[in-house]
Amino acid sequence: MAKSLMVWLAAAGVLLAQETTTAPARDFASLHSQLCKKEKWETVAWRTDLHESRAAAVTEGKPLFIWAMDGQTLGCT
Amino acid sequence: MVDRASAFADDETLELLRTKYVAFAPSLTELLKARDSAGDFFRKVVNQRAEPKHSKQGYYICSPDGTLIKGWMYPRPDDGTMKRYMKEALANYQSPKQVDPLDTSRIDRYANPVVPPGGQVAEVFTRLLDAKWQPTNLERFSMIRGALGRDRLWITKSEIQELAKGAVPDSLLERMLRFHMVDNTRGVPALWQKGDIKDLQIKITPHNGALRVDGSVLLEESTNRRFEAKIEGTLEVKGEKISRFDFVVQGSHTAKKPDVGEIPLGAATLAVAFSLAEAGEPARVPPLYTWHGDYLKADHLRVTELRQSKK
Repeated sequence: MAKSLMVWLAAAGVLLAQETTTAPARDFASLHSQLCKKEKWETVAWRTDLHESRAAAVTEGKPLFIWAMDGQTLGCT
Repeated sequence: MVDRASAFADDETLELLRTKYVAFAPSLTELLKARDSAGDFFRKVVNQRAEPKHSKQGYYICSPDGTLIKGWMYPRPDDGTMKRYMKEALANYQSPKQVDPLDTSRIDRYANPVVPPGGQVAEVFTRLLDAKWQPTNLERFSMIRGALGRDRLWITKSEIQELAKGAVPDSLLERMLRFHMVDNTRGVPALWQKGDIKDLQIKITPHNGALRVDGSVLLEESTNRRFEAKIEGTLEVKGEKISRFDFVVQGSHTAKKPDVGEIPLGAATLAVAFSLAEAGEPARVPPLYTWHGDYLKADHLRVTELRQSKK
């Protein structure tokens, strides 16, 4: 009886921990540098102005590649 | 988000974009509505794409005279289609001999918002840490579960002047809380309402010529999301400009229903970081919520009520 009560309490404790516990706070400097990183898609010189993009396409003799999403394509999308 | 994790994670695709194309990435919604020559040109291009009918999102390869060469939205995630289309388009591309100029005398600023005069821009980075997820067979879900959400924060000239005096203005704090403390890692999220800011503690300490900011926040909706987090930051103003704007906000985030896609099981750790944007294109991307009337609001603020109540 005592053993099954202990098992039940331990299980309840685990469940409670899963529901309420999140990870401890990370160090400010390391988390800031970990998050503020440029990603691979940002190695492209994406332009945000249509007139400038069109003028560059004419000057450089290249086609335009348009990536258009709801929200801000290069920001929150 | 799926595009960033699939098509634009491919090295050859990125090299083609860097060397063979002029890459343009507007906000679809705004440019489709723009009442100016840029909007006219853009609508001319996207309306040449027949499918899909429900959305104009996706990719377009066109000549600068507006002739569509390729246009597609699917498959998502990309299966190599993008690279194939890019190569096919290049194989037959001939630069037009004449391109008519567009009228640039009128720019629809609603569709092309710019940071207010004298203001500055910070980049916002968001990631879910320690999240638990339901098993899924959807590749596009599993692909973006660890994604980095991105946005921009505008800081006005008057706020910079306040920061230079050693104060963190209520308007800036409220903007950061309501519009940027969101889980935008899997799509466009809802903003927080003013009344969702339940508690805020902020302590400002001068430190080696900079300002050290420490605090905590509780954001909570009545029926869905809750974010209880620790705030840490260091900022510095030199002359009339911010030279450092480093913040990290991290804490327990829960949601009962998703804005888009899916939500993690139970509480996850949401981390939001801010850093001053580099000059150039990164600073020209507007924040998601510039269209919202409260984005630059400077009076009748919930943060003011909370800070005054603690004096």
